This record gives sequence, structure tokens and C-alpha cells, in this order.
Amino acid sequence: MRKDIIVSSRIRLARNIAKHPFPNRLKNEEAEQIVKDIKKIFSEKKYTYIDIKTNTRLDNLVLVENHIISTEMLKSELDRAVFLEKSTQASIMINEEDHVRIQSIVKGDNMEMAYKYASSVDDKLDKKLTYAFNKDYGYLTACPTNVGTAMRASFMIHLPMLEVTNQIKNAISFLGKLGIAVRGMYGEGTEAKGSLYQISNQITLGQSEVEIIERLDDVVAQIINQEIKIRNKLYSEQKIKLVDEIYRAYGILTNAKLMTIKEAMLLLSYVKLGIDMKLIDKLFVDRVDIFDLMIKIQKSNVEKQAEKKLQTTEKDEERAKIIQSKLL
Amino acid sequence: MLCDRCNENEASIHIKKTIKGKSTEIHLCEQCAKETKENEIINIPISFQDFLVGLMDLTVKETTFEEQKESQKAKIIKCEKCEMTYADFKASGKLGCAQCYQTFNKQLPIVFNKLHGHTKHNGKVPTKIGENIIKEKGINDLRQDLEKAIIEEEFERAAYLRDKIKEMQKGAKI
Repeated sequence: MRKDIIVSSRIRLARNIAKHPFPNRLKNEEAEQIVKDIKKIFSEKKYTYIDIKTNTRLDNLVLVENHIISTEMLKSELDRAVFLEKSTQASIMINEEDHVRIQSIVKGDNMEMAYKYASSVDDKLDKKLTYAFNKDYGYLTACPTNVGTAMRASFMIHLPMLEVTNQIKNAISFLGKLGIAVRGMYGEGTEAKGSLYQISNQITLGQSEVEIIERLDDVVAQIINQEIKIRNKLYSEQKIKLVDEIYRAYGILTNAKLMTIKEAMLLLSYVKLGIDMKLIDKLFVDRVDIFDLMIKIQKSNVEKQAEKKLQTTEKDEERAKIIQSKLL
Repeated sequence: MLCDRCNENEASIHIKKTIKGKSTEIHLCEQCAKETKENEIINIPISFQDFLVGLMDLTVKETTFEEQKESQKAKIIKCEKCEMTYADFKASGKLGCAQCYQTFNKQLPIVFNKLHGHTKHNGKVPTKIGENIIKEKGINDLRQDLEKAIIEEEFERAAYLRDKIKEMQKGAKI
């Protein structure tokens, strides 16, 4: 069941170029130069180049919802860009909080693969650029919370039962003490919609990349065990109630004409639970990637698919249609 | 204590707020308190950045006059490359450039210890710099051999070692 609970594994590496000030002290000419220099390293054949500044606002918001860029990327005034590695879908943000932010997201429980992809992009840049690096402090970053490995490993996990039984709060405060951060689906400050939580390391200095991943893995395994325990208990004691709840969710999702984001996330979370616990007939949900669908129904994604600006009610209508096109 | 908002007048209104066990204090002078709507004061969200800035505040643990003086001195240290002062760093929570890490070398380990519980990197090393670290060690080993050769009056060997060190130094430049 672990492999169903872990929705994705993500690695983020921060890097800076030694000769330039960090983006918070960078002049725009230098920012432009950095984008130019990195463009030379990433061939068009293997990388898609996205210019954040000339992109439409809607397209940029879709990139944020799809976890390709961060919201911080949209706030900056500097020249900035994103490269997408075509084969691995690793994204490289230029001039975010640091000059280079390499991010690799792999579906399911596969942190080693995510690290491998991110690290290979890092090695490619390392050959051409001189990084800001110090023997004692490792990779130097704008924010001292990232210094050292400058790596953040993060598992996106689905914890509906820990949430329903209110045990998630205890887990979060406990994890904080271990130097592990818990955030919602869209990062810092966002609430966990759809019972999805991002669990990541806070400590980046003093531990190696492998140690950080191993430690995070141990902690996540503990949380998942707790989630599974509650699932099993509910299954043995109140199976019919659980199945009823899941089919009701499925019923509303497949029939409602208007669907708000909040309701959709909640109901999709139930359906995901039903699929993972094999409580819903496979015929209904054969090969539906619920997490993928959760992203497709976010505000900007809905507008992008409708190809026009939508009022709130129109958005809810469009969202219901998108869900039904996948579930029916 | 000066007002958090204007930084000019003496603060006379103190608000303490505790959310999920984390306490924040706001100190305002009468004028600023009047200008700031009550709900604004109460709804100030605690951002991660504020939290971080709090960690970097070295004044928290100052007790002696000497320590206070040291902290005041630290505030005016300025990075030559990007002109960031330690006070800027404390306010924004961000460093300005790679050079800042050397400029604030005395203060940063305290911050690192609080954030990470460590002060020394133990992970990946860039290949270019990594090679140099290895080369540096090789050169040091050769230097020791050279000294030994001179003491033992093995001049032919000493000359060979001297040339080899020179050769390696050329290749080791970053």
C-alpha cells in the first residue's frame, strides 16, 4: 500500500554562480547574462525553454499548479527563465531565490530516481559554470536554511485517515522536532487539500544527500504505517460505512453539474482511498490517475483547458465536466 | 525599547500572541498603535521568514556589555562585493552573494547551528572544486617530501619535487 500512499518523490537542488551576486542583489543585466549563459549549455533538442517574462500570466499560473515553477518565480522583476528536460521532465528555474534551482519530480515512491535526474543536470552545469561553493559550508545559497547540500527532498503523500481521525496534527508537531517539515500540496502556507501532504527535510548542512534521503524515508515510513493501521482498523470494523462514503463521493463526482475546487479535492481524495484500498469496482476507475486529475482541476488548469476566461460558476461547471470526462 | 513600526519612539503598547505554541511580540508606540487598525495587529501572520529572522537575532542571548558591543559591531559589518550589511541580512534573512559567507564568517556558524545543528558540509562537492581539493592535498604531501629531501641533503630529488609542485600548482587554478 506504501506505493499508493506516496504520490510523488521530489528533489530540489539550489545552485549559485560564484561570480554573480545572488538574485536578491542582482542587476538585471547580470540576470540576463545568466539566462544567456545557461541557454548555451542546454541544447534545444533536449530542453524546452520557457521565458517567464513573455509568457502569459495564465500559462505561468498553470506552470505553478503543475509544480514546474514556484510562485516566487512570478513575483521577481528580474529576467528569468525555465528549462524543461524533455526526457526526465526535470525543470531548471533560473533566477528564482538562487541562480539555479533544479527540480525533479518522479511519480510514486522513487526518491533515488528523482535524485539521479536532478544530480545529472547539476553535473552538466557544473562542467561549464563555477559554482559558489565553500569547503566548510558546501553549496552557498541566498537563504542560510538551504546551505550545504542545498537539497530539499520531499515526498507527496496521501493521508486521508490520519486527517479524519485528527492524528495528523500530532504527527506534524512531532516531525517538526525531527527537523522535518510538513506542508500542503502547494507548498508553504497552503492547507492540505485532498489530504495531500509534502514531507521534506529542513536540515541541509552536516548530512550528506544520501543520509538526508534515508532519514526522510525512515520518517515517512513511520507515518505511512500509522495511516495503514487506521485504514485496516476501519476496514475490519466499519467496512460498509467506508465503502458507502467512497461510492457517495464517486456518485457526486460523476453526476454533479457544478464542482468547487474544495469539494472536488475532498471527493477525489475519497475515490483515491477507494482505489488504493480496492474498495471501488475497478470497472469504474480503471487506470485513472487521481493525483493527475487533482492538478487538472486547479483554477488555472481549468481555464487553460476551456481556452477562455471564466466566471466562478462557469469554472465550477467546466471542472465538473473535466472530472466526468476522466471518471465516466 | 523602540517601536517596531517606526523605529523612532519608545514603545508603550505591547502585544503578545501565541499560536500553536509559537509566541510573537509586537511593540508599538502610541502613535503607531493608533494608526494601525486593531485587526491588522492581531492578524499579522507569522511567516517562515520572520521565524528565520528571529533565529538570527544575536541580541537575544546578550547579557554582558561586551557582548552587546560585539553585536552592535556585527551589525555594521559590510560585504565588500554586494554591500550587504549584517543588519540587512538580519532584516531580510537572505545573504547577497558568495562573498557574504566570508564577510560574516564569525556570525554565520551560530545561525547554522541553530538551523541545522551543524556547521560543516558533508555532501556532494562540485567536480572542478573537488579536483582542486584533491590536488591541494597532493601538493601538500609533495611539500612535506621536499622538506624531508632538503634536510636529508638529497638535492637531486628535491629539485625533482620542486618542479613537480610547480607543475601541479599551474593545473590547480580555479
